[in-house]
Amino acid sequence: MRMSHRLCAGVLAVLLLGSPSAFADAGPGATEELRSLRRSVEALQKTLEAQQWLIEQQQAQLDALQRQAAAPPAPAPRQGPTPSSGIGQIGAILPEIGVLTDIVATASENKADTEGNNRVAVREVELVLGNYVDPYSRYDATIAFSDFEAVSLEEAYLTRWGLPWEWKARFGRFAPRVGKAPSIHRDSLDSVDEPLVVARYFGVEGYKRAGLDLTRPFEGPWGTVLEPSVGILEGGVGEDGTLFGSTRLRPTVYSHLKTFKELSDASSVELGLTHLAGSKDDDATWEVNAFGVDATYLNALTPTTKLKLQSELYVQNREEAFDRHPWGAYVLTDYRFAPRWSVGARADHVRLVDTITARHADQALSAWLTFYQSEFARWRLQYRHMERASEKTEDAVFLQGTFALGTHKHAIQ
Amino acid sequence: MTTHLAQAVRAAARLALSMAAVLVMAGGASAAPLRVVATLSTFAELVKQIGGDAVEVSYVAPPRFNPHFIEPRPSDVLKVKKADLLVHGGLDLEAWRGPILDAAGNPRVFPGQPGELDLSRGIALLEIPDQPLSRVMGDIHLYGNPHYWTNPENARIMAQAICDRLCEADPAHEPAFRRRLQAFLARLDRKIPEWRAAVAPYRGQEVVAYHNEWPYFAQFVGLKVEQFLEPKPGIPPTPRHLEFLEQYLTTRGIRAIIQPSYQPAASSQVLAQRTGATVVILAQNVGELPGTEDYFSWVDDNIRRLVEALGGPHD
Repeated sequence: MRMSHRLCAGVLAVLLLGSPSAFADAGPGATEELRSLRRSVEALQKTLEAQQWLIEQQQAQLDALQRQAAAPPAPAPRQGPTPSSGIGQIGAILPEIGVLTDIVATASENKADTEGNNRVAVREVELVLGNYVDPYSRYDATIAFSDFEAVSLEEAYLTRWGLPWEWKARFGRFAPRVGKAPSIHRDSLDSVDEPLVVARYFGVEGYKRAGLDLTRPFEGPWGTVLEPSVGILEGGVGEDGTLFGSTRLRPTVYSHLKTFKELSDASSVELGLTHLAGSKDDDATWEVNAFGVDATYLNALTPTTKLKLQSELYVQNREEAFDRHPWGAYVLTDYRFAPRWSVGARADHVRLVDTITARHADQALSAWLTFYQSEFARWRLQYRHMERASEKTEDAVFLQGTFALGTHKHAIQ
Repeated sequence: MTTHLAQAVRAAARLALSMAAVLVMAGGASAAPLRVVATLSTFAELVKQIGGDAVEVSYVAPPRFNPHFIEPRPSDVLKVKKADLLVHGGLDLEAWRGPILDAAGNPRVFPGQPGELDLSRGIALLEIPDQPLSRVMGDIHLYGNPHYWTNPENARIMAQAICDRLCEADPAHEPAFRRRLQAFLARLDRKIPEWRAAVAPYRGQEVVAYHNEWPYFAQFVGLKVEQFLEPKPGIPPTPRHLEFLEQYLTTRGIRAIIQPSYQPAASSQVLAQRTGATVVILAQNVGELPGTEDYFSWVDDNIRRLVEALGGPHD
């Protein structure tokens, strides 16, 4: 194409300029005409060259595009390492690390020198580690430090997927899927302290035992999601818990059925049933049974406000001299009324195991205000009025600060 | 004895026949639509545009909520557990993606598996950090700004990636997927100049945003967004910062404050009242606002709202 254009231009120039004598013979008017024609030709030549340049540029672009189409895909433009790229990501094989700190200041009428009483205490620093072990499993561990107690291993377990019928297993030390509050880490509770029924029956730091459990969600009737869980655990309960004895040799078996129903894109209701069977001493196996019911209603009223209503009830069946069916329950509400603020309240009632007192039960009313400083820092002020079974009344005020560093995970509802 | 043996053989034959029937039925079931779960409604919409009736698509994050702070529900876990393909935004937008994957325990959609599609791949990311990061800077994104789907130019790359993955997962429907992709891209080619022309009179103007979630959209429409109501990402507006912004908007004659519907509007309204600017609610995702139910109506609506706030359409 380039050659043909040049040829045309040359021919035109020869035709116009090749025989000047013919024009010269025609006089001064013809000479002027000749000059004019020469200027026109020169202008045409410039235009032609400009067109030629444009064609060459376009041809070069076309060649580049053709080369690009034929070549293997080029690396993504200006893209840094991504969590799923797996390229140059040393973090992908190292454990994910998070540190959660829970500092509580307590002012109470209780003069006992117990954990965090009438002082500021680093109640817990949780070091959370975890990552995939291989394509079939993941390992998670939580180690808790405190300024009042020795270092403790809260959780250390392997999660194994891809089992027959799509069951998922956990093996190690973990929080069994019992009810709602017993299986939640302290820093994730709605209040500073555990509900009394959890603290008295399962332990003040919740219920975590070594064992094996299996779970599998599946579609239930009427648009529900059903999630049964079954497990066998070492005996005993958490610190100060009274549901089972302290022996670890008598195993505990548990089962839980979670029933979840979406009411809308913003609201849902969840009902759970729990059964535990364990031992209170070395003499027998599974002579203590506990049955639990839990219910949770959540409604994100607007994108920045949320209402939560929750309740749990546990009833025991055990051979005791004074009370064969101790029970305990709580009712809780938490309302996030602004993006950074929420208020909540809880009522507790729990009958103590095998205790003869005037009232047989501990009762409490609590109210709290939470301020979310950011996604990684939260403050909570709580007041609790408790009437103990011993008829002693106790008022306490808590100020809690919870801070997170490193990897943090958003909980599943 | 012989009779017992014959009965046993007959029983075994019946069992084998039943199992064969079950296998045949299971084979037939493979013609069922491909189950695709997307993290965001916009990704789900793109899957629907390309996959049509050959896919059954759902999403996790309801569009009227901030996609950074979703608490996945058991029903979401079940969706992911049953999914053949998980389409997500990659990067670190969906901090809840890891927990939902772990809870679902579906190895088909684990990172790096054929059932996982990270749409950020191939996108020219903006704001990739080029300095050491710290939480002192707020809730920063480690891999670049993750809101890339708001630029319609990026829809070409995302749609192509979705089409390629759907074709791999369901080769029988490849011709249909390719046809639908071409139709989508052709419509996009017609609409992009239209959208650009609508905002052309305002190119180069500056607006203020609540959170830094519009750099890709701003790039597309040619607007500048350099200041945010959040003094740092994820940190709510402070009175002092609002005072600074009041001066900033006034001295520069900025006419619009943009934000999605899920961010709190109170501070933006206060700033608008003080400066005479207009608060423009733009949808960050398909379906967030009425009339944004599909990809094209979503971008149409955002362009219309923006143009109205900046001074109305020019003839």
